[in-house]
Amino acid sequence: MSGSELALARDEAVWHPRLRARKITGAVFVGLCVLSVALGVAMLAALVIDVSLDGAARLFSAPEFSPSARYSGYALAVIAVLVLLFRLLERRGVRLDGALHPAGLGALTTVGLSRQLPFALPWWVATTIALRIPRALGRLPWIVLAMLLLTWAVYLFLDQTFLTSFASRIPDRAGIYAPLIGTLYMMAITAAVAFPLGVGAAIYLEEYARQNWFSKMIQINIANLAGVPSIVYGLLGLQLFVRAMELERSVLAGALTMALLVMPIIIVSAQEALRAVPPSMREGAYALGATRWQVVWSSVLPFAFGGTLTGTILALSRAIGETAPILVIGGLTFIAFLPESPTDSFTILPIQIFNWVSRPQEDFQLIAAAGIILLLLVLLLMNSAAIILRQRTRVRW
Amino acid sequence: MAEPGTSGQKAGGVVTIAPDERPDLETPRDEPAAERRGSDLFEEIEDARGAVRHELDAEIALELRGLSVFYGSFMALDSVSFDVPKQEVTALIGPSGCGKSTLLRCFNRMNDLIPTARMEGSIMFEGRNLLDAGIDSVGIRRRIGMVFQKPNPFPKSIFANVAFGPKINGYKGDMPALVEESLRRAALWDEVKDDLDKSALALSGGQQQRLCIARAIAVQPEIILMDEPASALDPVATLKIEDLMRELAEDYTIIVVTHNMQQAARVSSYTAFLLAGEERTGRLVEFGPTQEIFTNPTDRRTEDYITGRYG
Repeated sequence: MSGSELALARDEAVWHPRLRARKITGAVFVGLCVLSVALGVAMLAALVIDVSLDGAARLFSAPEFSPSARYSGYALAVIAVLVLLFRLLERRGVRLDGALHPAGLGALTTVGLSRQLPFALPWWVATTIALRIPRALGRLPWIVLAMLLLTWAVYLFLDQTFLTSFASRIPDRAGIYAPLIGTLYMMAITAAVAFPLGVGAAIYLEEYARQNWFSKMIQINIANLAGVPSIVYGLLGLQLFVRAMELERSVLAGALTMALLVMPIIIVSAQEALRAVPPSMREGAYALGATRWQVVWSSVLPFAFGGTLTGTILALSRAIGETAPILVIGGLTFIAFLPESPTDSFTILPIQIFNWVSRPQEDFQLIAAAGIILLLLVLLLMNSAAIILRQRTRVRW
Repeated sequence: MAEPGTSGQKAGGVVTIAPDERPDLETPRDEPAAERRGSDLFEEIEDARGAVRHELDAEIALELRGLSVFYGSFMALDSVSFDVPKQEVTALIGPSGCGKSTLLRCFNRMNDLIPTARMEGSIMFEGRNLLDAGIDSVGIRRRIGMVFQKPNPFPKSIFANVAFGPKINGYKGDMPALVEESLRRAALWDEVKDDLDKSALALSGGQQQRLCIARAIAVQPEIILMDEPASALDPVATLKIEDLMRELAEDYTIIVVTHNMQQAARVSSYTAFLLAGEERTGRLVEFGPTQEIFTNPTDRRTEDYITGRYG
């Protein structure tokens, strides 16, 4: 037993419990969490209203609507039925990754419909990689694939101006500068909005919410929102951000819509990560006199952070390839300027690719292929970043 | 002390207690041990609910009166009453599932973390009932620390582990000095003083458990609860933890749950024996100075347990 009683002497002047401050911090945090969950519920309500009421009215009881409006309604219904069917199959244990997934099927259809291999193939590859189909393939095919794509990319990027030029009517001058910057700009705002709200909602649901029918309902709804087709989020964003909040066709409107799209995925993955923290860590912190907020902040979050970040990056890499919501919101297809503030109009990679693809000239379709590879490379980069982060932040118990 | 009966001889052969370390506590008993045994034993236990089993001469740290714990509709503990002496080691013994850990977790309100748990009765600590709704359970956990069965250091550095508690409690003093002092008290300083920045997970199991004890000491609790602190450790590490418990008892009140009766005999001054009936509800069978419990128990079931006749 050592004699130095200096540090251990019970001197109340040295100990400041700061209980009140801690409680206030906790209350603010819980408030934020409740707010984000409320936002999720509002999101759901808006979806229900937007799709059920509006969509159903157009589908069944409005002959004055044009045939095209009707057909889009039918298409929505078919997509909804398909998604339900796939979810049902998934419940029964049938794996629907990759090519069998609705999006994969869409990509296959594209391949089938097109006679232009240069853009059809990378499109399909990009989609399947985004859906992580090669998980079953092992490592070697991955490497071969990456080498092939890189070679292709180098070949297409031989013209260095491709990355730094704006769109143009003349294929030789057309570049991908504006959509690339637009995509990065939008994704930055999306991440800044979706990450704190999503993680906050996950923390609230896992650590604070009582287990009752209400929290269970929120839980089920969030899981289901993760499976809602992205075009529906586009419709929601159009009504909510572009019209109701009068954000116009801005980067901000697009980013917020994308944030809604990825938030369910972020919430679910963050919840998984929080559940993986062993209970002994929580107990250890509680036993030292930590408040619930301190337990979450200093003992749970640091160890769930890696998993949360991985989930977030994977969700964002899904969002980066999404075209439908931005099409609905009104991302431009041809701009010769950069968005300078969040309220400027913008375009993103997939829309630019879509624009090029739909042109008759052979040259533009080659440029589209180059754009697809760029998109693919961004995706690969983000997914690799997720894998590296997961490895580096893994905690040994 | 008391007349050595047959039970005393049996138990005495198993355990060794250094008499000079034990306070001389001559406790008056209302009736001889032999007369207490028999068929009306259970009725007597029923009658004795809410009553203190043993008058303590020592200062009292915690006063339990009629403490019952429920998990939903299941009664895990039924009317436990006894006094925990100050600055002594008190052992809670009994077979698995008798409610020892449940009882221990009442003292620092860890049962609050289980949504269905409910507690009745009272635990008086410095004149206040720990089970009152108005009591700040966070503040209680700072004054009543806990060490768990499995060493659970945070995956941080050794220094950060010890500093965690003081930091979250707003300690403004000299942190390195506090960490050093806590590690010294936990008899770990000499082994880790050069590796304070290394991960706590690199330590051996026994060192990790002593680190957890240092972590608990660092917030300057008055009482330290230990839930089978040595059950996951080898004999050498166990011995170190036991030495540590005896040393710490000079400054802290220690309550230890243990399956190991020799350990209870070696380290504790007082022992509470709990037993669960067929409905799995735990009850206090006997509480008293360890020496008496082990050499001359008043209850036949205590004797049976100590001599190894229970599972």
